[in-house]
Amino acid sequence: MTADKTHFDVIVLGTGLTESIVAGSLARAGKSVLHIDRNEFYGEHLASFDLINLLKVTNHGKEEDPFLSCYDEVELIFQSGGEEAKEAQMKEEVLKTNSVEATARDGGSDVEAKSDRKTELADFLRDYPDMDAVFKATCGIDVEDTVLSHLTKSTADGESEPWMPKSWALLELLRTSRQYNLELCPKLLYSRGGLVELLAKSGVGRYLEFKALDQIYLFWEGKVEQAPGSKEDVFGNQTVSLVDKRRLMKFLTFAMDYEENEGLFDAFKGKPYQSFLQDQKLSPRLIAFILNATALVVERETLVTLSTEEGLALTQRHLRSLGRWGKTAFLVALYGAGSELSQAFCRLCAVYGGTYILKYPLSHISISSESGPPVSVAADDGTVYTASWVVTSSTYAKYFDPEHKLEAESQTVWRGIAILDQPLYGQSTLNVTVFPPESIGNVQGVMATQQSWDVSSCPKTKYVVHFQASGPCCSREDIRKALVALTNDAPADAAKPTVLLAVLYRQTVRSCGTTWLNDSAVVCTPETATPDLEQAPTVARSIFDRIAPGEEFLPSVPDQSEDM
Amino acid sequence: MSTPSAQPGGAAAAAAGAVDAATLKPIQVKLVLLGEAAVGKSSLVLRFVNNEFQENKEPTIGAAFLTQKCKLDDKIIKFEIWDTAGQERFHSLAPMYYRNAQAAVVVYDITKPASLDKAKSWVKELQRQANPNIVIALVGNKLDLAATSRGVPAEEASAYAAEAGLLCAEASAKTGDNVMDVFTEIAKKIPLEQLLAARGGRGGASGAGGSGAAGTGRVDLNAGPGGRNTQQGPCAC
Repeated sequence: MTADKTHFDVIVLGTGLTESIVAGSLARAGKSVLHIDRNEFYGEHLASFDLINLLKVTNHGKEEDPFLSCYDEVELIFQSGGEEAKEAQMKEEVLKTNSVEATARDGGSDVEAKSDRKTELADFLRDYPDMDAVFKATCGIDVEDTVLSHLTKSTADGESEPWMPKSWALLELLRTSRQYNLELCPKLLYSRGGLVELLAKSGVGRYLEFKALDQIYLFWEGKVEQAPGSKEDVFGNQTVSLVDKRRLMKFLTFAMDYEENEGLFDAFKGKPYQSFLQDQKLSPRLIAFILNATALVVERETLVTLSTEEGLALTQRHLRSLGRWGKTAFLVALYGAGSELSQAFCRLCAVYGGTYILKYPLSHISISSESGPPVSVAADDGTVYTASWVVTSSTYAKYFDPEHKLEAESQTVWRGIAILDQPLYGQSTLNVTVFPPESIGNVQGVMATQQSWDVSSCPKTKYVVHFQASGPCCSREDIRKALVALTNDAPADAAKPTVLLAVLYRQTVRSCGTTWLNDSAVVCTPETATPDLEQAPTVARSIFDRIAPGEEFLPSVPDQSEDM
Repeated sequence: MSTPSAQPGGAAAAAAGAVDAATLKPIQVKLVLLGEAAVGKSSLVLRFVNNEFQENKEPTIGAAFLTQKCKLDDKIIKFEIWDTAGQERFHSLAPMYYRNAQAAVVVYDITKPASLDKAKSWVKELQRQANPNIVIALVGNKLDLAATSRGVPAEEASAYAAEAGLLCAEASAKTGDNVMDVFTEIAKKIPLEQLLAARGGRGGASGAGGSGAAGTGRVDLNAGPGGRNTQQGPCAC
């Protein structure tokens, strides 16, 4: 499997968003591009999977794989009290009751039904051997010993195995796997952010579908409240005093164009945003609203260190995106933002002649050739490709930097994905809930993003909530606490949604910013901790400008569909 | 019942004036091309869309997708045709490619038996990845070479197609033989009523793999202020 051509202007390694924008923009500008990924899917750390593949990636057990090893500490929660398990148990009980009568009457039909289920389970596990670990972790069964051996054993005594109802419920859920699009790292798009503008201008947005986020909620003093998204929301809010409303409105109007009123914040330049907000006589609740639900800063250290200029810039970015589409500043991409956007820019690259090889492991990369092309990349299959430049994601850094000399930190994010039987807040299907630090006994702040069938995340009757916590000392506990706060912990509390299945995991990405190793090689880092993807187009642009100076960055694609 | 006919967009649009405008809003259908490199996927589409053929065409460059309208009874179908852009060569097609496709044309070269095997593996891939109701047509291209260098008997391909439940035809992008008919047959087989009902008037499509997002509230990036208006306007055609 080799391309007839082995020399390219640029080799791009990894199909994360930044690399994909670079690949698309360079091919668009006439450069020849070879784009390689070791994985069989697009998007790297921003990828999106069906349920089975998500479980496969998070329960990989492959510590040596440079991509998969970024995912560890996985915990699966599959509650036997879940709707499906209850239903399955009920069916099982009915089956049992009937079985006594049935056996008494004609004997056997129920036994057949039960052994059919076991056969189905065994068949499924044969087709998906990777799911063994999942069944073991959630249902406590050892597939080899339990399921497969029971198959051969006679069940004529009518006794049902204790593990069967739960396993069956899990099987039923996994059978709907293809209806899920679950992101490793969910992202929102600012409606007037640089990325949305780039998608519209370049024409790449034509490949994508979006919906507006309905609402942002803030967990404040023990309860969830709606964060106001507009002037009307602020004034309509019954729980904010008139004085506070005026102060808030005054502040928001200022923040919208803060650069024009430098005098107002001059004294606070370089000082914490928090103290600036306090100086504006805003109440702690309004400060939390601005910091956590508007600037979307949730890491406790950042809340303290964020400077006034940085904070104002984040607040302004949010405010300026309000009112374009829907009630909030954000768009949600169907099927998963990072994954879809990466695929769309890769398609642009391919349409302009780029060559794509996925599922293609490399054995060696050299970026300092004495003579000939500066970059050479050797694949596991023995083919050597050469290029003038290489642009790579940080998951390929070990090839350039075997001794870890490259300044790099680990960027750790704790994540949880919960499949629920009901939405969190009635009508709203796409929303974000922000838990500030210590609001529920959590160390780091937690962001919980609910998605639904509206963006093809799950079947129509289910809801998906993505949790994330980042920053020093973030932990599984932060995620657990937010999960418990939002869902039905006690079986009696039927008003809250029940967790059908949850996957908690740690995502640790090597972070080295954007580093030019020499004139021909640049490493870039995915944005895992931020809720948005605003950095990717900026970084991609800077790389593009260095490789193709003077060329236009992603000019509009002629639209062939218009004038046919 | 009138005979369905595929015609260039101009003719279809000209006919539109006579009939009730509501029924003539084109029904958008995403069609994907698949098949081994150099079997003539893009040539078939260029013949269908522009009624032209280029000898020694370069591998596909520069087309995000092409569109062509096709009149069927009292409806107009607007095919949005996606080319692989070469991403099929190393099996690196993105899920986005298959997503929401209502039709697929899997192309092989009647002079190259190996290309039929490849086509069969693409059919399998479609059955695995695409919308379960996708209409698949198996098309043997380069029919103009049948007399001199046919390598795949027509019966072999049609027997396979019958077994796998596919539409099947041989065509020539070079001469134009049968090309329109392939697209017309596909148009006839697409469950248009179902498609319209599922969309509720929305331009998008139902999801692959049985999922599919609700039709309401979709944001069109280009329809916003300063963006490109994607509404079907009175076009020049």
